[in-house]
Amino acid sequence: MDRNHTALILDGSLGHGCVALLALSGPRSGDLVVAESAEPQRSHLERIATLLPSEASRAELSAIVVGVGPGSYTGIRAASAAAAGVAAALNLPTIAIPSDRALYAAAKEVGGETVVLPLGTREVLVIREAGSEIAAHADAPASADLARVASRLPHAFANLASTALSEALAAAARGEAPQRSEIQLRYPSPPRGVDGRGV
Amino acid sequence: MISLRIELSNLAATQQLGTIIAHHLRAGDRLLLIGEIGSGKTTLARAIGSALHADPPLTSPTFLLVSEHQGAIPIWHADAYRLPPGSDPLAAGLIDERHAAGITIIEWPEQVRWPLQGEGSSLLEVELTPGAHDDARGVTLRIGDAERAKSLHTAALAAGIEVADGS
Repeated sequence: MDRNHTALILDGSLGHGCVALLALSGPRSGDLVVAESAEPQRSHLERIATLLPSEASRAELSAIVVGVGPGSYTGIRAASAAAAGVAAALNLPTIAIPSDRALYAAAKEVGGETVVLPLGTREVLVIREAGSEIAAHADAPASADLARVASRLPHAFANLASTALSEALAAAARGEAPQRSEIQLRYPSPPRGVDGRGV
Repeated sequence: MISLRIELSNLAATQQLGTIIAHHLRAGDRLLLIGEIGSGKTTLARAIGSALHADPPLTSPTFLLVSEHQGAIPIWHADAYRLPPGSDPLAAGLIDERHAAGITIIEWPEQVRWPLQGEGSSLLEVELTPGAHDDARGVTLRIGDAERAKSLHTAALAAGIEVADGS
């Protein structure tokens, strides 16, 4: 097959979604087109539609890369629901990538070591190389600039998914059915031995 | 954490306390309502919602888990009653970064395994216990913010509600 292949990248860990299209083959291979969002609440599906305006563009789509958290409660659900829907409709494989790992990789690209992601009114997620943990707003270290991290996030997802994307393309070339397992969302596990009561 | 002990003699007093609490809430607050079934958690939540012009009005969110309301400030009203004990509030949606824009009222918070211990100026806790008669309630109000506790104390006294400093 000599058709071009693309992958759709979807993540909602930052609340406002990350929606991007990655070229996997052809002259533009490796290029990323990002659906910018002036309005943070604009739905993932609307933004996907701007990246895939035609039947021909949808026919090139070969895989969905989805960020499965941890991150914004609403954001990761919106992204994973959109991913599951598009994957089911177009019979595509889904590749699940931990959002915190992508955020960390994006931070590294802009010279940061730590990402502090707002989770709730009191809680933040502190993302470092060694792992992620929940901390109180007041105790959180300085964060890499989230706007700059967001700008590198599609690229980080593309890098983290590259091996799985190659495998998915190879499997498709062999005529195998796409791997579309259930999208399992990830959470930072709360520390053990903590009573439910003391917030 | 400052603790205030309040005696409510009837339903009107409960509603009045709700109004007073509502006027002391600000964006980013998390209000925990603790008490047995029928202790008045939802009555208090409704009164707070009503004072903040909640639209739609607050009802019992037991079967919704979390309901969202417009108003003078966005309100999220959650009820963890149906969650298994020790549930993760992140997975259940009781912790959401959007809550920073409004106030979150959580009933049955003791069902949840909260990831953080300790106090915070944005944390308020109301524990309701049965009073001397059917309509009466005892309320223990715990607030991380001393200034707000003082202002609330003054407002409650001005409204004729009986308040004592707890320990």
